[in-house]
Amino acid sequence: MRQAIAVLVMAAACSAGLDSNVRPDGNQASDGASADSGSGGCAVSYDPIDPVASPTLPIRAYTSVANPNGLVTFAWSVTFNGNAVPYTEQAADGSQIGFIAANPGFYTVYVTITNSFECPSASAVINVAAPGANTDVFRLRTVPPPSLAPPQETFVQVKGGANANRDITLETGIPVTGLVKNSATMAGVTAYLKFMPRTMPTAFSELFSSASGAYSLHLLTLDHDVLVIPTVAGLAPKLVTWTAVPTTPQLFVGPGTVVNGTVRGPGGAGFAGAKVQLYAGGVPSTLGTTAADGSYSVRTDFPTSATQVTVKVTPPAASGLPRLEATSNYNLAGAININYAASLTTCDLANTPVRRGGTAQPNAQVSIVGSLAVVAGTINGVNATNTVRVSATANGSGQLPTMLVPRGTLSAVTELSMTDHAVSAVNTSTCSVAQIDAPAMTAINGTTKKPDMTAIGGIRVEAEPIGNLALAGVAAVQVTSNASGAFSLPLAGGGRYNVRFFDPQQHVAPLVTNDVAPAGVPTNALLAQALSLSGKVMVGSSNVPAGTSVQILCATCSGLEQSRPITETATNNVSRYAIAVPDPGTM
Amino acid sequence: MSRFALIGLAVVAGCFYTDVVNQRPSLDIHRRNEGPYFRGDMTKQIELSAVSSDPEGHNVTFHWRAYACTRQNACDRAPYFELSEPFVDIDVPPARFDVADPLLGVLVRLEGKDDFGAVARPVQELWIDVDNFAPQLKLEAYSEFGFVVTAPVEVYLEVSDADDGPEAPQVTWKVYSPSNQPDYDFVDYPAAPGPTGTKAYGKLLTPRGVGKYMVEASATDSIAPLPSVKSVDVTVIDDKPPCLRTLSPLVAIAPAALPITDPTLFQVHVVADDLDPYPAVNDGLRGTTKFTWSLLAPGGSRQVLTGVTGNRVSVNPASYQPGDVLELRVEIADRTNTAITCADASATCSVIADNSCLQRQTWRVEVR
Repeated sequence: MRQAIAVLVMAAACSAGLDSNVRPDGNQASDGASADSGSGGCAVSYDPIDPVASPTLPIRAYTSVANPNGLVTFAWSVTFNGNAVPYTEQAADGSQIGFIAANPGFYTVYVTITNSFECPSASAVINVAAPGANTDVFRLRTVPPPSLAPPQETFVQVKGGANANRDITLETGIPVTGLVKNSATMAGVTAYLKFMPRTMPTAFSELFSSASGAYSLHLLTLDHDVLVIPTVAGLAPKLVTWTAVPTTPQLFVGPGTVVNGTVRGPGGAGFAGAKVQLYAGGVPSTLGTTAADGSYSVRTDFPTSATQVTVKVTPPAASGLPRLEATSNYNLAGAININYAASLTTCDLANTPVRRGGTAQPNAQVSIVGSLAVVAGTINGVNATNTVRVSATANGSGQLPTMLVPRGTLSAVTELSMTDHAVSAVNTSTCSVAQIDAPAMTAINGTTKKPDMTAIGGIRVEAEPIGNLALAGVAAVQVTSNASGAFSLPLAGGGRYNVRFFDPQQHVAPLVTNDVAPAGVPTNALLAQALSLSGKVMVGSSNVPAGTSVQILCATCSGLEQSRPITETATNNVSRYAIAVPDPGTM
Repeated sequence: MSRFALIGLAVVAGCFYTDVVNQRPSLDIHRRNEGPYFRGDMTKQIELSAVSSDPEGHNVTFHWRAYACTRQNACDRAPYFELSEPFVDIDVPPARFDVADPLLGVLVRLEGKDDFGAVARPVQELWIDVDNFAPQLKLEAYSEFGFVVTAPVEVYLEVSDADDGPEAPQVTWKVYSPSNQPDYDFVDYPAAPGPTGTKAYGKLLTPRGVGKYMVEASATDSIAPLPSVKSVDVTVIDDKPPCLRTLSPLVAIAPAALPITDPTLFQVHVVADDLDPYPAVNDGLRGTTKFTWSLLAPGGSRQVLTGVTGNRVSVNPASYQPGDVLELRVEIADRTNTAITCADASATCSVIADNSCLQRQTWRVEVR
């Protein structure tokens, strides 16, 4: 997929005769490599189109003047990093120059033209790539004030070894108003609405419709898929198509299809309080809760193209049963029954002591989490995966209350405080758990370093729990290295983490280490060279206000990483931004 | 009567002969333009013309001399200007040539004689006062931080002096602090060069208290009786509280709750603040926002996520029961650490009672 995006970007860039920064909708975002308009609607053009730094091969910049008022003269300047770059005139009339761009980066070419009413001046910012530059593709997300324009994303191709200028021109979009209605009664419906541009669903806009069903927001003039989740009972969530031309005025949701079934425990009897929800095509059903006999019903209105349906069952926490999930080509016209395996048994951890180093831990919160190695149940005959998550809080003596858990090899996540967690193995197979052990936290001490191997301070270190810790709801641990680059990261000994080092000051590129135990956290955290993308952010022809968010995100990630900026910044009071991105390097 | 007629009359009379006396012409100086004239002013000259009157109507030639003077009796020995024309345009130099004194006047002398050598008497003299250009000042105060207490204010002064040059004036500074006399620092600061013909000075004012400061710059060229003075007011205000600007995902207002089905990052992307914004600004002076996150889950009390100090936190719906409604709260502070005193039940809070500048925001989240 990543390659496909890169190809898409490059192909579009080539067809436009420009560098990257191509909107997925095919529109061309303003790019510093392109010829920029001057004050009179004229431009400086240049070739080669994709210049590469060279000590010998010149870059030619040129302009032309229509309807001169007399003898036209041209006064050129070329600057790089604020320093003048020598140039030679390449045309007798002075309309062309050549200059050597020996170093990669962006060069500013400016020309003042006399006797040209239409074109008194023009300029171009020319991005000059490093020889043999590697490339990487990122998502560039810009979030202006909602009243000004909707959030927008574009893929950007970053070439290694050179800072680049990239102006961002946002579409104003169109103000949109509409109504969410119950298709059966035509009454207005309060609903959560997620407008996702079809060509870039991650650049979505969210809002709630009012009690009358009314909504208003700014949207790009693109077709959108709208996830509508009514907040009122009796209506099924639905994915609705919204078109820009003509503008869809109303979004209809209805009762959908009722799906029934029964959730039965290991003994074969239905039980109350289990939550059942179905998903297909990115659309959830309503949330069903089983009655005393285990019966439930949910409403669905899935896209017709979605054939695979995921069913999730969450039993009451006190049942000690695991959660079940299965995906299959379920027939929604018939019942969907969930049956826990008859072999599934639970045991009670009541009075089990929670200790650290032999010391009882009063009021410790313990979550038994994990996944049973056996098939814990079926959903309409399809074997379901299972997830165990049962929590309880120890009493003042450090002993657990009644706490039913399934039998099997699981993990205990113990929370002694918001910053003190422990992970330990728990085998409940024989219901003979002697204690919940809460090993001490592990402090990972290290140093954050720059590419030249010297220390750099002020680096944020963020350890995001994954696996069992995440299942237990443990929050991330975030610390900042001191002025000497030293950091101390307290982690749960048996836990696993995604660890990110990033520089809020944007001097160096982030360092990410995924799915590591504490011992795997780099203690000599070497943050790589960063490149700077900078430019101006405009909405149409207007400057954006200070504080417009500019984010660089992974182009191909999913899940949490899809919404986690690699780096982010905001525009200043002259609508400019500068953001550090990882340097793809050169060959 | 013509000269020949007189001779003829004498011859005819036969009684005497006398040579005709050639009378002196008389001179006058007319000013073709009016003052004031300024030292070294290349844009305005002294424009004069000579007027003669010769009793015999002879042609008169003129000779002008102009002397650079400090006073009428203190002039250069040699003229700096000489010309033999009826009309002259005389430059005004900035200083005398014999001595290093400034020029304060020009003495113009006009001599003339007719074709027969009769020299006009008296020599015409005209004293012209010359004014002094006082130093010109341009004073500005600038701060990226909006004149916030403890944040430095850059003060720029551009000095020009048309006759003495920009280097000549002596510059002095004064700072008038607010009436409660808060401390401040006022130190030299490198100033970017000004336009040609000016000299730039820089100062850095770091106010330690709020109120109206006045920075005054004086420049004297030692000629003008009074120095040139400019002042600029710097009204220093308290450090304003930070304001939450861009958040994701959507903040739902009760009774609505944002449905989440997958692990979700709750993020503050932008905080506006004069000194401690987020994202941080790499300028060595500004800091960044402090974030405090807390979570209220069903059946529990609000718990501060003490390990989370950054701008984002993830919530995994798998950690809760479907249908649970959580409240995830973020509160922000800048270096002043203004306490957020709103009731815990308030989803939002502004310490300045301004709903456009919130320091607390609460996501209501429904686990699906």
